[in-house]
Amino acid sequence: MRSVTKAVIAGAAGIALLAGGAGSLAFWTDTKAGSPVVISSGDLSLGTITDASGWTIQQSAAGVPTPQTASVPYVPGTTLVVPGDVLTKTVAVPVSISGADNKATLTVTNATAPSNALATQLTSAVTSVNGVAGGTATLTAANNGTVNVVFTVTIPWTADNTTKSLSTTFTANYTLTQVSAAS
Amino acid sequence: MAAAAAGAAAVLGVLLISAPGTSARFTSTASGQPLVITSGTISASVTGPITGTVSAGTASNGVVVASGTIGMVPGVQDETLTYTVANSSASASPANISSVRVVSSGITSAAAWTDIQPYLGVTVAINGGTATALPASAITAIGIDATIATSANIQPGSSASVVVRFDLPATASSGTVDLARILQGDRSIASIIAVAPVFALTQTSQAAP
Repeated sequence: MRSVTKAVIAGAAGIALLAGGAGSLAFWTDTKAGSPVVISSGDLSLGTITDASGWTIQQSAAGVPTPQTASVPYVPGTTLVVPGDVLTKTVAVPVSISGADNKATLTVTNATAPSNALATQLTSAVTSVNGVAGGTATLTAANNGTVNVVFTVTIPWTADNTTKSLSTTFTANYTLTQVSAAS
Repeated sequence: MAAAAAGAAAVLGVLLISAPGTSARFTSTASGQPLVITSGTISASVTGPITGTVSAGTASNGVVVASGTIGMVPGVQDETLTYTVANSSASASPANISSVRVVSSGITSAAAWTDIQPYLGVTVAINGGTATALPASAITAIGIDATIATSANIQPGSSASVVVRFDLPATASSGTVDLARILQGDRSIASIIAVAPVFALTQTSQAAP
């Protein structure tokens, strides 16, 4: 048998087999798509923080013989601090926090640089975060908007002559970290 | 070869377990704006002394003190050294003259000093206030050295007047020394002993009166 003939026979057999197989799957079917469910993630972010202006100064540190009873504006670079001064600032920190189970800690730290006698002898502190004493508070979506953070920088009444005529720079750092909703 | 592969796998396993990705969750960090804090200073300056005299009493009969007589006349006239102590206008705080140290830096006339030292009185007064006397123990054969606690608050740009006053009694207590005669040649304290007071300016609170 010629090879051409063999090929024709094999092809015909294949077509017959394929045709027979398709017929064996025939039955009733129906399909439907469910309603689309939109899944959107929440947000946890800090906005631009403006905290270098609006500070006040008041000589009311511990040990000051006659503490001042009222504060006045502190002008960075112009107002000179002396022992006994306390600088205070309440910063409205922009916080975007959304999501049903979004819960986060806002941790605020601060540092001064360069390190000199003034930086060494002053004490800087985060007085409260969202009304909670200390440098950390837990926030939820209910706090979306702004959160108040209160800072104090104290030049102690006991600061000595080595702190005269120096400059240092105070900087705060803010960190929002999600925690589990059940925490 | 197999051992090396096992080691590499172990290292990879450790890396995977400790990878930061295992704690991934929402976070956000931000830094605040830098706040410059600059400290001030306080700076004192002293000018003087201006030498003067003040009446100490009425001269006894027969004693005539010529007008314009400088220096000490026992029992009749005291000598004053007036210093002006200023708190610089560049100072960032009011300050208090917390003490005055009256100290001599040398004896100019040893003989005169030896004679008057047992009888000399020295007082310090600020802004015309009550005079405080140096203790007798501070006036010795080698000179004067005493620190008087004082209080005079000076605002930046203001000053205070400090008067150091030297007096001698009309008669020496021993009755054997004629101070008036000793001082006839030179009645000025500066010609007998060099006095160099030291004024301590201490910061006070801004709200201090």
